[in-house]
Amino acid sequence: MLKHLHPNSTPPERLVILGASGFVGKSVATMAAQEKINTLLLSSRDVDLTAAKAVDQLVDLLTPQDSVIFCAAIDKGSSSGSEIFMQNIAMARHVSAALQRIAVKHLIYISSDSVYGFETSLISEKTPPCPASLYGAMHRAREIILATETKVPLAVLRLTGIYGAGDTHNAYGPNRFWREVKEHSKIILFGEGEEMRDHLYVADVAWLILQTTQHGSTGLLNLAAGGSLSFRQVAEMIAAQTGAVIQTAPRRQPITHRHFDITARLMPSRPFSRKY
Amino acid sequence: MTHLGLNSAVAAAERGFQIVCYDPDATLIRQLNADQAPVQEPQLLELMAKNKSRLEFLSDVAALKSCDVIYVAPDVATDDQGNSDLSMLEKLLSVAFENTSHETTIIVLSQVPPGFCRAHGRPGRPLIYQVETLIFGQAIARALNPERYILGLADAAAPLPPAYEKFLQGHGNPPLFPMRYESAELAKIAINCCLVSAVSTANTLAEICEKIGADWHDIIPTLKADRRIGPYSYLAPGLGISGGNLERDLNTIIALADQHGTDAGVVRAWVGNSQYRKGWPLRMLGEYVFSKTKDPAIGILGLTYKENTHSVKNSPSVALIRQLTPYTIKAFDPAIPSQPDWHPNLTNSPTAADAIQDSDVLLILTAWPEFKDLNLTEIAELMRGKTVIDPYGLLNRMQMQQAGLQHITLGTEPNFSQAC
Repeated sequence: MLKHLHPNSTPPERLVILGASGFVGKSVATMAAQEKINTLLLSSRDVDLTAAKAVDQLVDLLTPQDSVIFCAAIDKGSSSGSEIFMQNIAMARHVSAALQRIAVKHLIYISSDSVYGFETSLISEKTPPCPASLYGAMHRAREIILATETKVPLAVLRLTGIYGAGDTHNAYGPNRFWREVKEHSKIILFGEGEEMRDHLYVADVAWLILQTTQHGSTGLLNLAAGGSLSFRQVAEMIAAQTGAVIQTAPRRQPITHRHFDITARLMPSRPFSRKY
Repeated sequence: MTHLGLNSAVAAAERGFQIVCYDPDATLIRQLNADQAPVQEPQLLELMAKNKSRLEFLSDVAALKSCDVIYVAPDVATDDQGNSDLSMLEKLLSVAFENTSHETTIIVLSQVPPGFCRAHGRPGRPLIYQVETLIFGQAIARALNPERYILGLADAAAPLPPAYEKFLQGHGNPPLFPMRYESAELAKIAINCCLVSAVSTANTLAEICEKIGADWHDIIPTLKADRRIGPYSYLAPGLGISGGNLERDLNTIIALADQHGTDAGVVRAWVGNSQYRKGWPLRMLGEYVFSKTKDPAIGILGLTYKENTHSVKNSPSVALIRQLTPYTIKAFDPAIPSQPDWHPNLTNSPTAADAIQDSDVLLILTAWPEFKDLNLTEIAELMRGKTVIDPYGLLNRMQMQQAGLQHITLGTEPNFSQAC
């Protein structure tokens, strides 16, 4: 659960986004611009966080008044191996080293629900992390690195699967379904698409991240819609709009379900429970 | 002279025994002598008045000298994690030992962790642990007619002191279960674990009912008709365990299991289920109100953790109020007023109708019997919105629908979802 430093919305003096060209970072940057928040957008073209020199570069770029959103990661999906894992850990180590030299005002780390296993289908902030993939282990390790090595007030936001225009990934779910429709006029489900998942719209993710910055929030929050749909339900929604055909392919993995208990998001304050 | 001590004393007086009621708090004693009780229980004030000649309330410890049996019965306070503060019990136990003769039987009636009595006994002094099964709202009735007495003794084979045995038999001659201290101390916790197990099962299955179109209330009678479960089992869906006593026992079992390396996974699951279930009203507000109505005015009926009590310990109602900081709330409870430190915009309503007036959503969070008699047409007219969150199903669902109100209750699907 998050605790809020500012009960009322207080824009950060400057918002620094590490990973500003990614799916989430770009969406946050767009919304921050709409809200006229002063931003510094950094992508791998500006600072290669995997390189050791990133520490000095960040120290030069950051100020103690900054609020930093760390959403940079190398994501190769399920094919991510130990090499990608080590690069991602290196990025966190370099960010951590920089923040030990220049303590910014606030750090928001964008993590993932992949830190949770599938032993329990209803996830809350009290669910113990138990990553089943290197990708999940990477996010959990980064959370711990940032929480233990820096003294910066930290919010960890664990994102469920997100969808929306501009997604660079091709993970099984709404974005891939749209791509399949666009390219082949069909959607391929594994098995019957029974798996239940929570899907969050990227603009809602950006809004929630900005709320976290504007309230100086610290702690842990899962970002999820709170209502799960099966992949078949999602596919049928898309098919109904496009006329695409739904086909099935043999299942590769056992059926798993994931739901979120979003009570913690409803608790803390008005901004996290309201959408108009 | 707290909840446990006072109700036990009044019940014993009703059974014909002469009772000395000692408490070091002189203010409390003055209050009791003025016929005012610090706690609310059905029949308590009536029986206090009826048995006034048998009840002596005082702060003079010398009066204990005349007693054959001394009950030490302070309520043991717990913190938010269910950890007990035994300091008052230890203090009063010392008072009892030091101000009575060696023949006096001293009974610990307060809830204690296993090992307490063995550790606090004194050589040559009779000390017995008597398991209490006080239920808030039924304290007098249960003290008058106990189902059984579970007795913890230093030596389970030793006979009971005659004066104490006579006292117990004077309560309707219930069955006695003498055993070692440790067994009796754990027996009390075992009873509560079985209760929580039933409550947790009911809550888990009731939530599934809410999702799949089943009605948990249809299922309850079938379970109660099963001899292995029984007619008195705790199967009503609720908002998690409250009141402090059950939480304390679960905490004790987890601590013992951790200390001794035994598996307490199921007990941790009960605790988790209880915490999750407490969030039910907030989740319903999120789903049916916050997402649809800007700045909803919230009416709340019921503040105590259950009906027929003044206690708000771990009350779901108070917990919810504390989580609704941005909103305006009016609240009414028949037993207690709301407290200003619970919420910055909380109005204490003098009547249920006042709390309902102009609310966008009404929550009935304590199952006080009088709420069952609320006129649904009047509720519909008083409210600005249409959503009624009634976890315990006090109001009639069909009549709610006829009055145009959305009824959200535990254990079954909402009656419709377009309101508010």
